[in-house]
Amino acid sequence: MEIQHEDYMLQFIRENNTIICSGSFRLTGSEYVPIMDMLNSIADEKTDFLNINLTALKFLNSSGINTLCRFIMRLRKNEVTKVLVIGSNEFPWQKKSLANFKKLLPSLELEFK
Amino acid sequence: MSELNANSELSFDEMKAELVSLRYQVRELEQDKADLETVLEMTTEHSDTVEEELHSKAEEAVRESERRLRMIIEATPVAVVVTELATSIIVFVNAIAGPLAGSVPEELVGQKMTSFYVNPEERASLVSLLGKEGHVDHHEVEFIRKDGFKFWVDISMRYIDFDEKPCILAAWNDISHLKELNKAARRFVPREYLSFLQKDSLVDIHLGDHVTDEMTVMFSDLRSFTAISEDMSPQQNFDFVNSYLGRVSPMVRKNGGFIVKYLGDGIMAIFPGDADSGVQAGIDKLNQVNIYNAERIEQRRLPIEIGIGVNTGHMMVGMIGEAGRMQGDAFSDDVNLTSRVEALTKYYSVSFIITAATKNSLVDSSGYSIRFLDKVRVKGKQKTLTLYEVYDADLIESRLLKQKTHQRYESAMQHFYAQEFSEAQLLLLDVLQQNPKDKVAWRHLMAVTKCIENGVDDNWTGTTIMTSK
Repeated sequence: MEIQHEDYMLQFIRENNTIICSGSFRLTGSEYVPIMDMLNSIADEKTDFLNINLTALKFLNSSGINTLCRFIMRLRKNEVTKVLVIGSNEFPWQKKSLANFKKLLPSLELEFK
Repeated sequence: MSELNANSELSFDEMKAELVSLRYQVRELEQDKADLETVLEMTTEHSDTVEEELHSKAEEAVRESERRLRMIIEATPVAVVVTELATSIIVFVNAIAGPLAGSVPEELVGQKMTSFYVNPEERASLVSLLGKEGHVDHHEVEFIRKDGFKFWVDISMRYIDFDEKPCILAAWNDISHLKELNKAARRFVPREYLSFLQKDSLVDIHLGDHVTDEMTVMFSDLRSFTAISEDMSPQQNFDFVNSYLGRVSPMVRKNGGFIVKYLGDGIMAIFPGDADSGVQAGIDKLNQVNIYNAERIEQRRLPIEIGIGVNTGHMMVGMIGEAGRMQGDAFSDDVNLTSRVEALTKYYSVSFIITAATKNSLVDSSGYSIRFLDKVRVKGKQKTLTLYEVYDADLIESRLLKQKTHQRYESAMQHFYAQEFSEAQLLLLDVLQQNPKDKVAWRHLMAVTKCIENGVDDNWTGTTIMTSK
């Protein structure tokens, strides 16, 4: 499963339950619909655990963070609690913004590379 | 009502279940509310973080671009000066600009740029042009250094934000040397000649460039040169010719003409405007010679004599030679003829001859002292030329006598061509009685007398046939 675009990419690698989100997301609200749909379908698979690799995610706008928040909420609802988010030290915004995911899913773990 | 009834029919257990469900829904709603608040908070915080990051990135980019700009300006081989728009105060100069402005860059910063302009108003007009057009490209401006040294620059200007202030970036090249070279080059191909050939620069001149039109051409020559130069050293010869040419040449320019070429001590000049400018230039040249002669006589030197021939007709003026060595020239039958006409000044002992073509092209011929000279056929040509003498620049005594005898002289010539030789002879004798130095009248008197003595045949036209050039 994947969505590819010139500026960004969303990939789900089922073998290791890993979502890879990379590039720059500068979409408007409605443009996130296919992305939200893909994330929802991953959440609904109710896997035992899930890795979210954001190490190559350069930029995410407000609608983008909103989409990810709703995805985390969906995971919580589906009781997928073993979630590891991997961020990058290269993009300072990630340190601040990704930490907030824990407010939505306290069991979520964060790791920065 | 029916719904109320239905509700009223709920049992206690059902109501309890309903309450539990409601409590559960309220908890869910509270969770949703808390989630939404968290999401809102996160989104806002994320937005602030990203905005802050972008802002610092943008600031860094601006600083980086200024650093790069400074690097480029420092490395550029032209002088660059940045001045504040509001105050004209120099805020930055590169290493090249310093020495050119006669100072080290650090000392220039803080000074007003206006003080470097020989004419400070020029800066104001350049700045206003920059305001109007958004750019100023390649304007020539004269600068002055603090030590008084002046130099020319080719300046271009742009608006620029420098240290977050609206500024003007001016880049300039010292073109003093180029200007000197141009000035030197213009002595070989004058500006008037360039504009006549519709060229902006010497660089644009090519072999074969030409203009064909009706123009007035002038040939002039120093008549007594051989006699005068005999006892002179080569240096004295050059000095003498240059002294003469230096006096008469400006008269050509003054009257809107340009010198196509020098032929030794001779001058070939073209007047693209009306024929009057050519005639006036001839008169001005002769007046200059009169002044020069007065000085020469005072210095116990021989006076000089020059001959001028002016003709109007179709001619080609352009560049001839080969790619590596070219010069201006003019040619056509009318040009060749003018050279012959000039040579005839010696034959008739007059200073200034114009052709009928020139006389008829004059806007106002009554403004000049012009009298009929002769009808001639020059060697190698079939056409008869009618020539006139311009005597405005004769010395005052001669001019007054020619004016006094003008009517009689003209009517003598009319009688002559009407083959009324006795009437012509009487009138010419009368002219000569008043002005015995009138060599033209003498020549005509001899011709008239010859006709009376020998008679004329039926083909007689009175045209003087020149057997030599």
